[in-house]
This record gives sequence, C-alpha cells and structure tokens, in this order.
Amino acid sequence: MAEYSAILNRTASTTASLGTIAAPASGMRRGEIYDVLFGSEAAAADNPFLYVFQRFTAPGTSTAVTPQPLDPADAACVAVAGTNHTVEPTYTAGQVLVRLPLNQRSSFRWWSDDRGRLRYPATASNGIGIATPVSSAVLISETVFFNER
Amino acid sequence: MALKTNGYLYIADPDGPPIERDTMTCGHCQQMVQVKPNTGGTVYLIPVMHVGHAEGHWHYKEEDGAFCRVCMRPICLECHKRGRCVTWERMFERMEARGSWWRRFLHLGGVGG
Repeated sequence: MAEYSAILNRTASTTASLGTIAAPASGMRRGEIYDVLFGSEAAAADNPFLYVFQRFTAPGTSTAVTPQPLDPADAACVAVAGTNHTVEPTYTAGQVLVRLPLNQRSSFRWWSDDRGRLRYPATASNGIGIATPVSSAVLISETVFFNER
Repeated sequence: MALKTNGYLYIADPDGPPIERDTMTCGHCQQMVQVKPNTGGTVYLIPVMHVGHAEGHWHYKEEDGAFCRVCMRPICLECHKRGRCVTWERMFERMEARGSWWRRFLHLGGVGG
C-alpha cells in the first residue's frame, strides 16, 4: 500500500474549493486520506473560515497536482489531485466528512489511525474535496497525505 | 461504554492555547466528529458558528454520542437520525457497482446507440 502527499495551494482561484483528491477516470483504486495540514499564508486578518471536506462525483476544472510517493520506490499515484479550481467539483449534498470553523490565523492538523481514515471509492472521478464555502479567493495551503489500496 | 477514538486534531490559534481533541470517524458515512475529552467518546462536540460575528468566533455544542449496535461502530448524529445501518464498505460497494454498470452501459453503446 503506497502512501503519497499532495500539496494544494489556492492562490488565484475563483471558487471556494481549495483542492481535490479523486480516483482517475480509468484504472481506479480506493484511497484513504489519513493526515491533513492546512493554514493561510495571507496577511494576518480576522476572517472566519468554515473548512469543509465533502465527497464529489466530478472533480471540476483545476490545475493538476502530481501527488508524490513518500517512498520514492513506490509506483506513481493513480489518483488525481487538483487545486486552484475555476469550476467547482460536483459535490454530493449531505456527504460532508469534516466541518470545521477556524479563524484565518489558525492552522490545523488532523490525522487518524486506520479505522478513522477518510476514504473515497474506486469509482471514476469520485473523491474528496476541501473547500471554504463561506469565503473564497483567500490564500490557503494544505498538505494531504493519503494512500491507495 | 467507553469507545476508542481513532483520530486526533490540533488547532494552533494565535489568540489562545492550542486546541487538541480526539476525533472519531462515523462507521457509516465517515464524517469526522470531535469528542469531548475524558468522556470515553460518548459526548460529541458539534461546532456552531456565531452568525454575523466580525471575528468569526464559534462555540462547541455538546451532544450525546451515537453507536450502531448492528455494525458495532460509533456513528455521527446524522446517521443516527437516519436509523439504518449502511457501513461505509457497503456504501462503497454500491457506488463502485453503479460506476462499473455505467461504464459497461456506455461501452455497449447504450447512449444513443
């Protein structure tokens, strides 16, 4: 089971999405997000953010990010990652996995053992997106660690 | 019954001490839920944002936790309200089966064919 990291930076996005991790259109595999770090590198300001992790069925239009294997001997990642969305993913209503209000100046990390991971199915273009629905176009960087089964 | 948590979160807030909490992932929909410290995972903390507050403050509302006695896993309050046991494994099997059926349908020229 290979592990990967994807660094997603929302710099010039016109949407609320920060980034997505999705199964590809063919040759899909299940994936598990087990560690997420994020924070804003914008000038310090008191802005409320609601961070939301939500399932989607289509990843929208974004700048591709190549997930890096944590062990260089592992094969390239099958999943596709994206950031700086110009078209929002097709989020599935009611399938919110994480809902976390934070101040812009706060940074956050969540990690889990193998029972608590956030998984996405081996279904074409399905995955998990991270968004700030309350506010868009603010610089936010995140690092997502995940594996593929 | 005390439940073993399966995740952990850390919030670094420049205005106060860091917040560290155990989390549990719903055995049905996989929603991550924060749990109140020293309650054995039996009390959830649900974030509630103060609407209209300029600095975006929020508070956490305490709610009794929920546990599915069919799959024997902790679940979120939304899944508890639904009252049905559909584990994430079962949900994924359905999603993957639906996806492969759709691919076969397209491959056989099912749309307009």
